[in-house]
Amino acid sequence: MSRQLIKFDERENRIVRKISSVLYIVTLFSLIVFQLYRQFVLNQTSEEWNDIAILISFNAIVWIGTSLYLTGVVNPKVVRVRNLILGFTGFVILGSVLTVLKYSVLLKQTLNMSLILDSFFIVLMISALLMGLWWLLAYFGNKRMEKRIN
Amino acid sequence: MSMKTPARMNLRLARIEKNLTQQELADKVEASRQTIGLVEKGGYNPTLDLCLRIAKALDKTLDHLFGEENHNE
Repeated sequence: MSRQLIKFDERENRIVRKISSVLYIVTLFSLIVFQLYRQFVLNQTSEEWNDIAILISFNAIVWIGTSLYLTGVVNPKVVRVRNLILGFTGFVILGSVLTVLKYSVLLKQTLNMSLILDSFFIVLMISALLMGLWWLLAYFGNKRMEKRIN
Repeated sequence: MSMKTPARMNLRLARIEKNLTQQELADKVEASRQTIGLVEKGGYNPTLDLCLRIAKALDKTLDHLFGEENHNE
């Protein structure tokens, strides 16, 4: 019987996946540490560490989205409107705080009303887009799963 | 969290009864010898799919090989 040099069975696949998961978390946390180091220790401008910040954000958004879609466990039909509003409000508050910190602490800009309103509008739009995207993925993921089991 | 699984003495006995080495059984069920060894020793909890393949290869029932009352620590 001819044998392949490496042919993983279920146990070995499980081990490889576990290693990959752990290393993914290590990589992601390392990126966060690198970004904070550049930002606060090296005092680099936001343009210099934006690449890492975008990578971290992209990872988090895609990770949450694909988890919602592929697991299909969240049934958007039974999600309460109150929870959606709470989630959205949380996003807006977090986004607003981070935006204020960005302008006042990092960029050392004086905040005027026009800047605050512009930033608040962007935060609202991004929060709505993210919530909408995740809700859609959860909806289609759940629909796909129901189709598979029925 | 890893759970200690019990040793599968019936699996080892059924394999010996069939005159199969761990490697031969592993080849039949498309697993590695290490995996079969660990299943026998209780170091790995196989999926239902692998359990079914092992049971088929050894001409035994799942209950005989992996049933609760057949566990030996």
